Amino acid sequence: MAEVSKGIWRDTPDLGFLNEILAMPGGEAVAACIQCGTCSGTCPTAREMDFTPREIMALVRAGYRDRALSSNMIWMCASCYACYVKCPKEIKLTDFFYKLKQLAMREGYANPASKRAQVLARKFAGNIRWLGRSNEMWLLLKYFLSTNLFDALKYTGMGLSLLRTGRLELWPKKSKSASDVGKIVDRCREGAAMRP
Amino acid sequence: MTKYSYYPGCSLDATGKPYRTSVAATAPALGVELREIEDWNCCGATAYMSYDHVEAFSVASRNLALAEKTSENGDVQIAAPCSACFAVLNNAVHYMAEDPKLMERVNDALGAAGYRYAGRAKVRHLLDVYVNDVPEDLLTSKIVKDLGMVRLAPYYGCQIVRPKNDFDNYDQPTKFDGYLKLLGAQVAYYPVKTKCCAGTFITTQPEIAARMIGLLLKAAKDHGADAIVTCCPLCQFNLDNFQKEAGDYYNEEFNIPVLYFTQVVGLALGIPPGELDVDKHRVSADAMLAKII
Repeated sequence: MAEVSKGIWRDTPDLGFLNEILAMPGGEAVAACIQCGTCSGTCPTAREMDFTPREIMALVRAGYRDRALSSNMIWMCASCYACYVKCPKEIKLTDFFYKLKQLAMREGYANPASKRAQVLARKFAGNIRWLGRSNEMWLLLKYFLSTNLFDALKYTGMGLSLLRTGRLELWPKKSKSASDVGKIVDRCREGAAMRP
Repeated sequence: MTKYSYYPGCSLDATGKPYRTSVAATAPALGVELREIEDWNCCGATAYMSYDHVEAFSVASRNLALAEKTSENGDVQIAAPCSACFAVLNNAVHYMAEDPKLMERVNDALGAAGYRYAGRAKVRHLLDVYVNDVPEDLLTSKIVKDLGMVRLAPYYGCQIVRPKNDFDNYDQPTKFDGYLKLLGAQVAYYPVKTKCCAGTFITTQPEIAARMIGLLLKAAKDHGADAIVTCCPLCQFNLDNFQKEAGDYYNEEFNIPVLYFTQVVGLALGIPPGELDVDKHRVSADAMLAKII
């Protein structure tokens, strides 16, 4: 699996990757991109990205699989939909980047920015399957156990303030919905496993 | 009186409790009847979408199916006070309407737990309901406090207007501004009103989040706002709890209270701040409260 930093990729243009993207629902959008850069211009986190959203679109179109999927861009997307509503070709960019996230996560692409976001996504999904609802305290606990427990110390002051004002749910309360949610998630996964 | 299926969302039971309290305190006075969806589950939020979108929409749609059960036919109006819940549920409704295949897969998943979504849900943000469904004269007739000395920054955030909403412009909305004026307050010029609050970055990318939050606080401070008013528990959480970190980034000090719009409505209606949980936020709103007469 590719764990690369900018400048040392070994991938070559692979039209198979482009075709794979084009075949995904919503993936055909890349063909419409005119490389105007409006997405990068509206993006509030573009300055922290190794490739900007426009560059990612160009990389996908040229078939650079490793570069696109190991980029921190997709994980630096805060899902604010600023680019989505401004795209002159009406490409649903935020959704497209979600697809790339799912693909990168499934295929094990990693970089320092993605690791924490992927852990949070996995723990979040796991939490809901477990409780039916999200419990912020337990989500963060599991997140910090899987990333860096010392980071959690920075939140002590905030945690105490939340506790004092009764805004922290200490014990995970299983909602009645949990068993339904479990059945729904299981059926989704069976369905996904059966599709080619 | 219009009835709504009420979907509070997970945050309103934890960090966003003051939002729940202030909704419960103000909705009946304005004739908004909220019936909480029984046994609702998490909407999936943005984190679930990174994981798998069919799964995320299926989990979200269980709530739509539950809301549909409350009426035999016609549209079912769901009111969601959290912008993230609103965006996820609203996306689910619109994307399934556009893509029958997605709807089929979601219904297949829902079937495992005995549910079915027929496509009758209409998702509304609670701010939309307060602004557009409550008659103006009813609201103004109930206002007993004068907010004329208070200057408020209307912070919409991203998910209430984007990607899709039926009530205001996606980039420079104005309805919230007008609503605060109607309540009698001064409205601060706030050009960053739909910029992102950093969302989950507060956990995964705290340094970047400090910059993004700082931008929103600085604009409010520079334009003389006594408080920022939000319509989302995630925005409120980020803006209220990380003012020190944001201040360190911009090398200045922030001390701006961040209130829910329902709390401001309650204050205008003369409900004591304690009953609206105004004292439960991190940054004290006392200086602002002193200006209300």
